[in-house]
Amino acid sequence: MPLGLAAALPLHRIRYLVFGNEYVGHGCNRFDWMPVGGSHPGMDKAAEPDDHAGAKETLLQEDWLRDARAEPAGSLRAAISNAMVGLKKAYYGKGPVKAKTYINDNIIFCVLQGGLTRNEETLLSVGEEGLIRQFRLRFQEAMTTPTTKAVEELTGRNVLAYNSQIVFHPDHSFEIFVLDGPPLEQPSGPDR
Amino acid sequence: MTGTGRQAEQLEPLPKLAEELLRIHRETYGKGAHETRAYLLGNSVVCFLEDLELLPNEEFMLEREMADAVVEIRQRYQEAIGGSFIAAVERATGRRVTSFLSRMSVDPHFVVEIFRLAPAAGPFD
Repeated sequence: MPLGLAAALPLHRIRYLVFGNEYVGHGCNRFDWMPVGGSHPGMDKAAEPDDHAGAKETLLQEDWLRDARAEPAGSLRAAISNAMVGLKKAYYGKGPVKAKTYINDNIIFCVLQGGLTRNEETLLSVGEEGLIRQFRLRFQEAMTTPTTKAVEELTGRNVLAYNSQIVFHPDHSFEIFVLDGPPLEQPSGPDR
Repeated sequence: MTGTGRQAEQLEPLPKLAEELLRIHRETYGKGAHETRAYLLGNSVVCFLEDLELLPNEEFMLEREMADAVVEIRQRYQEAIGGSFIAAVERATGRRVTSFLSRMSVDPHFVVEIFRLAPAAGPFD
């Protein structure tokens, strides 16, 4: 959704959560982003509903769970989430515990939570985030073909670009795809 | 130490220590090895973790000739867990570990851990 349109939405429909270096608005059907620190016309703390207080600072567990339940089974988003989880499980030995996919026109953004292996947990306990990230990114590099192929089959589109990233405390990994157009699959639910 | 002196040193198997090091490895890495051996040789303890069990992601990386990434993460893991290994060796030998080295071989898969011990205390120490 273009930033201008996001700006036009009532504030109670948009919640800003921090994903890495981006704000991701949710509470609407597709995801929207703004640069960190980006201003939102008319947005001020006093205008936000009380239950969203602090949501700009961190991804709250309750927010995640609420969103995860909102993802309809059988939708394209769910299929992409399942594919990403399945690939991680099959090739990495341990899959994420939660996944959520956002689609915005020709951009697919899949967020995976959890799934660190035992050795990664050990390395994380001694502050080796950089090494884990480096290994994961090398792994994803090797996994580019099966990963992009899965998305191409599900969306009916070609993947022009693909990238992956991981953050810690809490651990979330992100799979980002740029397609050559919006997915060709028809929406099967109200919140594809 | 002379060559004769080295020949006189006895190689003492430490099976309990070998099992303990394997247990730590398994618990903190998620995978172990099919065979393990540890020996005391003079002021050193040498432990072999033979026929390493690999994680699926490691097997995947090795198949794609990305062994360097596997070796690096194993190496850094060994450094991270070194304190637990050293404590196990000190408990088993009753001697202080002064240094610790670990190396992994990809083909064949094995790890060797070398612990240098402080000299054994004499009867009047």
